[in-house]
Amino acid sequence: MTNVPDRRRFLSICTAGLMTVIGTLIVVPVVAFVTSPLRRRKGTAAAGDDFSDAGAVNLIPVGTWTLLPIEIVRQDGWDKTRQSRSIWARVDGNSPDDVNVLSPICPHLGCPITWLAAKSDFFCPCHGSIFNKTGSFISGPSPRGMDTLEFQIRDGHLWVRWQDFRTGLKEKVAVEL
Amino acid sequence: MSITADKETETPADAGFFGSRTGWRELKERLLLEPVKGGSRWTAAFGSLLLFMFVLQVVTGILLTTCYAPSVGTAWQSVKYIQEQAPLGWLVRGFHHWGSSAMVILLLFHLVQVFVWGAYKRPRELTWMTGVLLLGATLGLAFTGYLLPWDEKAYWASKVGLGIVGTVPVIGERLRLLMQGGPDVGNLTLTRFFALHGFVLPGAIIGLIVVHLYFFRLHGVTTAWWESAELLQSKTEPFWPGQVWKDGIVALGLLAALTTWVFTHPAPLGAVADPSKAYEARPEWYFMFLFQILRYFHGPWEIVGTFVLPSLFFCILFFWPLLDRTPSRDPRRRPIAMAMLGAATVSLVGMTIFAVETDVRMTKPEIALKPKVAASPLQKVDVVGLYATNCLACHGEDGTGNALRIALPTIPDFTNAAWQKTQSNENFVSRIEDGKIPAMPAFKDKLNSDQIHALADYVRAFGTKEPTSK
Repeated sequence: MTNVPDRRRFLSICTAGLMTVIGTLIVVPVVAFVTSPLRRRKGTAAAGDDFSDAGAVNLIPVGTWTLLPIEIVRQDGWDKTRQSRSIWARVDGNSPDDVNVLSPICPHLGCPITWLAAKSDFFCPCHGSIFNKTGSFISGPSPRGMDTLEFQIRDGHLWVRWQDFRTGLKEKVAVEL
Repeated sequence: MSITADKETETPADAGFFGSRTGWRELKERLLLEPVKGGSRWTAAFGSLLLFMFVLQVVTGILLTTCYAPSVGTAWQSVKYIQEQAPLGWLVRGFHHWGSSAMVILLLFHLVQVFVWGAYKRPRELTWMTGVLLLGATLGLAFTGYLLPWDEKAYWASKVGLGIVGTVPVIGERLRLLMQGGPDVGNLTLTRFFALHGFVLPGAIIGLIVVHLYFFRLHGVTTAWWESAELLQSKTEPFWPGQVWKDGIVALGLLAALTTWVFTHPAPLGAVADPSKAYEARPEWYFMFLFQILRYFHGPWEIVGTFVLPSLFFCILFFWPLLDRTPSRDPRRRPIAMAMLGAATVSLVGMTIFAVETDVRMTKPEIALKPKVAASPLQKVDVVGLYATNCLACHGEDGTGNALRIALPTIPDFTNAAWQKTQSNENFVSRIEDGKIPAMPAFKDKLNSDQIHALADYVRAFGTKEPTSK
């Protein structure tokens, strides 16, 4: 009867090994599926023109900030959707250097920033960050000033490249799609 | 192997048809007739009240799932359907919405009661710790739940909440992406939150409840510090019916209170989420203290408010039974513990009240003209804010539409009395709902019927006030 304990121990080890194999076969694909947002999918970045038309430049009131709606195309899961965003635009003269475009997304935690014409300041209503009339940081919990957006003037129209930037960082880092 | 029957597991022959097949008598003996030392008590009802509330949430949650569709294009619309059309939908949703607030309040009561009673001390440390994990899971349920209606509050609160997750050191950004489901807050975020809210977290909570209850039954209910050993022995009674009766009375009271609240406070549904519109993001009331705290930490100190303080609080809470090893359960002999409890309660409650009272909303436009309006729908709805967000850009602060008349000659002047006479209230409502070519958008998929009716009244009100000179 001295074989029995050895055999049982051997079988125990094999069974434990089998459970490990089965567990691994299940856990590995599960983890890979759940963590897929961490791995960028190749080839889904928009190729070519990712600028959006914000309208005619000469319709933008001069000398003040205006919130303009734009449409962006995004792959949202299974849906290729046109989503609306807004941008702050300011025209101070006739040349492209007199045009400024800012993202309304607060670099603190992502709330939309409003322009207070009466005080000539940008103000974030969530946690009270204040930015001056060029978007530079004045006070509050925001780690940096407002983010500028790339733009082009094409045939008298303002075309803006919408980008999301990571909140909570001192540097302006674009979120990659 | 022994051939003789194992006497402990064999049920008696006279147990009856079901008795010998199910062993229900033994089960009843175990589950319901557990002796409670010191007799049944009202203070022990808090725990089962929480369990009752959780069951209510699961039931109403499942009912909501029969009508809810988690995608960007359908979430808000299906919730509006539940709220306005599904028979008793408003009741089910009301219970689920206010039930979540009730759970947070009940959780805090239960936590404080257990803390004061010293019921976390040896050998009950693990009961306490599973309880803290339950607290965390419940807050997780609250957070994932209020994204699901996809109204403005839901969208922005979740966007900001994910931003807070992103501030966790080292793994923050990855954690945020994991929860967000994709590069943006969108379809995949909704489905991920729905999976967490409807499946993962309830499953975890059920598992934790089983463990929590097992430990609780193992060590027995914690008696009050003023009860002597003799008293405990003399007043021992079985769990059923004494304690269950008390639990039931308290549960009935909760049900009555919750029903009254639901009937008098319909669950809110804001306008559909629109990332392009300005909105003052605010979390639910039970996270307002965190909202307030974040105002005090600027720049590189921000992480203190978003991560360090909350984690510190949770760690202290979780490991508390190991930190407080004094042998006595008497709160008078635990001055430090009681002082910390007092300080924590005062700061959390105080911070919440302070946040709510001092919250200044900035997006109310300065309306120079004060419309004289009838009561009801306007007061329930923030119509000034709605008008500013949805209508003001074209129709103007003063409702005249003068700024756009050159481009849009047919835009009406709300202050024109003659025009107002030609319009019925139904005209206003259907115009807002369906829009009009060329430029007026349709709002029936973006605003609920209370909001649309309130706006219609507001448009009417433009015609009744005296114009001021600007």
